[in-house]
Amino acid sequence: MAEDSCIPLVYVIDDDDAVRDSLDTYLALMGLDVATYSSGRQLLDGEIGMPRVLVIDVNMPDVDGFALLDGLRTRGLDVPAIFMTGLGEADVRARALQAGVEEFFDKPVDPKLLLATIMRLLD
Amino acid sequence: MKSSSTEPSDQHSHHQALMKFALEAAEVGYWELDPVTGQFLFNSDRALAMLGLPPGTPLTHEKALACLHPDDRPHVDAAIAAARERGEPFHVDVRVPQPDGSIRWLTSSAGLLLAPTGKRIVGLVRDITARKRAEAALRESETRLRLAMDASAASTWLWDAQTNQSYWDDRYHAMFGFKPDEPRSYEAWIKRLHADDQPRVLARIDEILNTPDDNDWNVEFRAVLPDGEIHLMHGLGRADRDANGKVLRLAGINLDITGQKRSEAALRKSEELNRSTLQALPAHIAVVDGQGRIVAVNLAWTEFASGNAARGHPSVTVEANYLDVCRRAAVLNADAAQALAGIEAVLAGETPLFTMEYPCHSPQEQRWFLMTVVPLRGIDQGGAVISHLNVTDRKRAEAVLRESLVELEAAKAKAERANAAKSRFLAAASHDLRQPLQAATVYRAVLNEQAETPEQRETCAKLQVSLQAMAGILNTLLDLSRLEAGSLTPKRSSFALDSILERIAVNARPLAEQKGLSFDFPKTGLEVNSDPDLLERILENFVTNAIRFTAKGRVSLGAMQEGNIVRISVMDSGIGIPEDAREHIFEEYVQLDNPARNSSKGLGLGLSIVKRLAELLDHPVSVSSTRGEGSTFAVAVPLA
Repeated sequence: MAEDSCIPLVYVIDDDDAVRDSLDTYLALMGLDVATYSSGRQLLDGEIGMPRVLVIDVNMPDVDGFALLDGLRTRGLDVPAIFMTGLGEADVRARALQAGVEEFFDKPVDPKLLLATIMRLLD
Repeated sequence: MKSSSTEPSDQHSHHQALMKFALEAAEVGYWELDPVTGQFLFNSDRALAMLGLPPGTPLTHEKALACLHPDDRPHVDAAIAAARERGEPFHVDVRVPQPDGSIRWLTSSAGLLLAPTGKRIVGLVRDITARKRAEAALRESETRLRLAMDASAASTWLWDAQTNQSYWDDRYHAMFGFKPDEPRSYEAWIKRLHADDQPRVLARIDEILNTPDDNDWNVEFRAVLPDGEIHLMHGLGRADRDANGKVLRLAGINLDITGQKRSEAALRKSEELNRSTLQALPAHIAVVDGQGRIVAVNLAWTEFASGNAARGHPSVTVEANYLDVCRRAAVLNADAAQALAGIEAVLAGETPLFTMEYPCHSPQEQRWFLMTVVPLRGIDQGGAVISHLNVTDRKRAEAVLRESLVELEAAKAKAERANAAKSRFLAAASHDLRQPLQAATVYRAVLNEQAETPEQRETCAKLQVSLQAMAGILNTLLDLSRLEAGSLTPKRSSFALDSILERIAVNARPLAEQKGLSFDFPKTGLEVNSDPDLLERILENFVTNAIRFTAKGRVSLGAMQEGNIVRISVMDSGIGIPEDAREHIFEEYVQLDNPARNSSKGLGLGLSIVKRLAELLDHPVSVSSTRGEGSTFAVAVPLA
């Protein structure tokens, strides 16, 4: 995988530094090209680029997962998204599915499961 | 008076003139009838007047009969016939109806006279109306007396002081318990008197005998009847005296007043009871007449009124007009105005009850009264009973109760806020703990990828077990906070049971194998109806517990259809649960005190969450166990 010439781009957006860093490390180790953002605002305010999969923490200050997804779609970027949440309320899950989110995980998500989901969405 | 024969002579005429004069003086009428022709040959004008005819009216037998009451005519006719045929003298009383409807009574005596000119019936007639009326009046008076005597159950008696003879009627005889044939005597009567009353009665008789002008006999005394029963008698009578003032006789009536006295005593007792009760009542009670004038008050009222008087207020007691009192007070006091209106309404018969509570505070204390006004029944002029009851204690108790309720509400709200805060804290803590846990889980995966020796990989595997246990605890805390916040509502659907069982097995198998346990999960192929997330939570708890508390052997996850129910069970080959502990095992923070468990982790919350989730889903949970052989936890879910 790591040797693949066409490296897909995965964006991880999470306000928790450790979560962001661990996922960056793990997914990179597994051969993926990862970009991380500490907030939705940071992503929306800069050059967005061409990500293939989004891994978004739902509960973030300023711009939460849903607002971020909306903002990206407004800019014509419609890519598969994976939501992660620390609270996992039932209505969040329902809202996420309604918003077209591909997968929804409660933290702590099993890294292998997350990787498998990302790979599926990249195919 | 009878007719008599006479001779025709001068002497005779003289006699006849004298006779006429005598008859006139005696107001007696004279008549003479020819029984053959039916013509009256002679009538005195008085006789005609008695029949209601003018003087000199020619009269026939028929005409005379016509003047009489129809009922009397036949026997007058018969008497005259008898006199004519057989010479029988007769005596008849007849009635002559008067134009005003009254009756005049006449009495006539007659006989047959054989005169030289032929047979004559001659007679005298006298007006006896006055006597008849007197007789009727007497009869009526006697009847009335008898009725009165009967009605009052009075008996009559007479004692002849001259001869010491006693006379009394049969009722008197029976009243004193004498047998019908027993003689009636003063001595016999004296013996009936109660020993305690005898001296007084005899003294009274002596007094009358020896005191001129003291004639009234009015004595109550007790009589002891032969059967031993004591009767209370009331004798009423008068003494008759001769010209010298000597008593001739004592006569009167006697009444047995035993029953009357008993009723009077009972009534007095009842009245006394009422009065005592009224006096003893703590309420201030006054009775007012139709005009509002106080006619009676009880002790409590009197004491209250004197207390008010001592403080310089006018004393409101008997004779005062309560309406006036209220009117004066109403000028400054709205309660008094209301009370006035209430009393007036009751007195006017507009309402059968008026009540009001009012404050009556003195500088010394705060007091409350309940005023009640009810109409006074059975009094012609109307009236009412007014009572004021001091309800200060009740008012205070109510106030205390209200305060307690407010405090209770506040405490409840505080407790609810505290509970909500706890739930929020649990949720927040659970969320915040998830972030480092997520990072740790991913870092472990990084380490695992980079591990080069079996020892490093084993350490990574152990790290994963610990991280998964920590995730389980976090889920438990989150579940608990949701359950306590009541925010967890089941979302039921029909789904393939194997989908969640497989997920559980995937997570549980490595943990079981790590402990050297085998994990069995045969696919069920069943569809159930439940909330998949919540059902998964229940089963996860069962499985986690089974792995945690089983040292060796196996853990099995399976399901069995029983009619419309699917029983999902988690079996283990652990140490088992003692019978007496099974009923408590689903309670919060209960962990069995045994060596195998002491080494385990957990708050003891898992099964209590299972119980609450199961109640939420209406899925019965059960546990069975054999000590030393293992336990089975099961949940029953409806078939889809």
